[in-house]
Amino acid sequence: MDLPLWLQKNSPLPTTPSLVASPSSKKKRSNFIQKTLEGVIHFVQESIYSEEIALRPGFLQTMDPRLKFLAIFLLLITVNLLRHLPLLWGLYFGILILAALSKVPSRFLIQRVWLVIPLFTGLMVLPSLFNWVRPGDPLWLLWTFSTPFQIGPLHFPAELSITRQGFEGEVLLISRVGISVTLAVLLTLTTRWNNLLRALRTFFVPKIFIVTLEMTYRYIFVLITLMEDMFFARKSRDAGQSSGAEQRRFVGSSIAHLFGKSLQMSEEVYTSMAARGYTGEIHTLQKFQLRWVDVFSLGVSLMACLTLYAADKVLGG
Amino acid sequence: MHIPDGYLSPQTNAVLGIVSALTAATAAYKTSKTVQSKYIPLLSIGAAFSFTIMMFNIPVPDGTTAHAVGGTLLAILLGPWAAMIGVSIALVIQALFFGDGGILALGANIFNMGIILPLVGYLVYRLIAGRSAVESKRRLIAAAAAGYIAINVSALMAGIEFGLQPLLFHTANGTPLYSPYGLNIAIPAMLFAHLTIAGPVEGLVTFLTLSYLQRNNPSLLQIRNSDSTSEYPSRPHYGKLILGIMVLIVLSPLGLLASGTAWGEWSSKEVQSQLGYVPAGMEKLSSFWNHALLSDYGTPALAHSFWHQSLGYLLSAFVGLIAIGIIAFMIQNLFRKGEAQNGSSTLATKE
Repeated sequence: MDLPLWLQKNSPLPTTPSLVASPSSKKKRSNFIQKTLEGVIHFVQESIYSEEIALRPGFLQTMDPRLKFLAIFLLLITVNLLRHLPLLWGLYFGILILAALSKVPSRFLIQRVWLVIPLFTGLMVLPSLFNWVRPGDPLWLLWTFSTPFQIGPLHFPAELSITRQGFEGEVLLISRVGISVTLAVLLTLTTRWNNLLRALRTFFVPKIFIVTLEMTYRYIFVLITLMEDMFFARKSRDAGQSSGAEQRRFVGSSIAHLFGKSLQMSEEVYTSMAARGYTGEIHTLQKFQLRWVDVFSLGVSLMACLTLYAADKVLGG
Repeated sequence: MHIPDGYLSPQTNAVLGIVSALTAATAAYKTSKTVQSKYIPLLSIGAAFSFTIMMFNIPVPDGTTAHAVGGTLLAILLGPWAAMIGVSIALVIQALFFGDGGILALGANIFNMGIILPLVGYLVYRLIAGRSAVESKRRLIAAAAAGYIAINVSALMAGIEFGLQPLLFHTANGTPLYSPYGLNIAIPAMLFAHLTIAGPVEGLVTFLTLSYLQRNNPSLLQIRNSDSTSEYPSRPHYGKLILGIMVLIVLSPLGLLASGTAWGEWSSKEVQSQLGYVPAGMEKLSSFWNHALLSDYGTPALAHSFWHQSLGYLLSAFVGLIAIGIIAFMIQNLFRKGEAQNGSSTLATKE
């Protein structure tokens, strides 16, 4: 019996053979299968972790999801309207206290936000620090060239400096993005996903969207498991390094296959829904009960927002 | 391309949020008319599919990997309206549960990736594919081009949104309040990244997926065709839609401009020129507040005195509210001392 063609060819070894990617082999070529699988695992881990925190008995967890969403939304708007750093960081301090009351590990919260945001956002806005990109008052003079020069239509002044406006803008932006993300993380971590979705229904969002959202959330896990299976199957058959074109074809085919599967599943789900008496009319269980603490907390957050906004206006600028 | 919170001003987010909400409502209405009772399961699984596409790592020639949005693919497979809902819902879940993209910026993200992308992708696809057969090469080329063009148009939108920020929102000395780059930098930067990497990736994914379906399961490509004959009998119907979107696109920067000046932020000059005089009582109050809170405050501006006053009221109300809360909490704790309760549920009055 002849060996199949693909077994006769010698191809380079796969770069990361085990599930645990060894940090020593920090090659640029990383395995897309590995990456996708890691993404899937990370995704599942994250959702389980947030469910776990949402089940802890804490202040935010017991708050009514509707009012909690509203309160955090108000705070988010405020964070995005404030222009003064002391006010922003004062608010952040308040948020940390809230997190501590809700038994969210503050180390996790701080690390997750401040190890990532300054890197990404900071890098993105880094060029805007310099007067060549965005003119402004010089804060630190870095270099003085003998003459101003021109490259094509671009005109550069002789002095390269970090501008006051650029620096202040960057600090403001990083603080703002970081604090916004903290608020969003806090909302996600302290609310079970089904409660959060139901809370959305109370505001402007039509019922049909919420039901679709709920079903989507469930089926994401089903589809992701399917996808994981496909990639695992491929990984276990993967000997050697395949060409980039072949890899891309594999991704395309898996997406197409997944589409076929999901379509089939939607048919099946529909028939099973119809079999259980679904007529297109949607009924949901569980009504929320408002407690005075919830209303009070919303009041506090509203007052905090208004106070901060007024303080921001008083400080001017 | 998921825009996080903080890059765009709340005003921009509000305008884009309204546009997105209106379009989503239209999309829901359109889809419910065409797909009827199978609507919810189909849309849900379509949205879950769209979410999953965004998780695929696609190998890029230089050895790294990239992600695709898949909006064009979904638009070709399920139609533009269902694709809009699918991608939008995927974006909502990403923002709310996984911190990809901001919550306030959701409107902007849905506008860029959930509305513009599937719409442009679908239009380009229809334009190139024409009435060709389902198995034809022309459809594949159409798919690749649609994916490429759609994501770039969507990036252009994001670039415009970023670029408008420093024009509209900055402090008196020119410090940018949100994203710092003007249109001349933001648009080229966004487009460069998408023309070179994200665009080809999106086009390729659309192309490969479609070619697989052509080879192995062409019936899936005809789901839409079977009802599209009845769904779009005349072209003027589409013309109206395009016109509407164009109007929205033209209007949205105007909306941004209009909402740029915050209410109550008039300078003293403006107030004086409009009223003709400064009310004596308010002037007195303004000087009082200037004296009390910030004695060396430069100009006795009317607008500032309003905020001074409100800050005073708000602060006292805020402190009062917290005091009431603490007192109520303590009283409750006193009454309930005997009962073993866990966490903050001691605050609950009724169960």
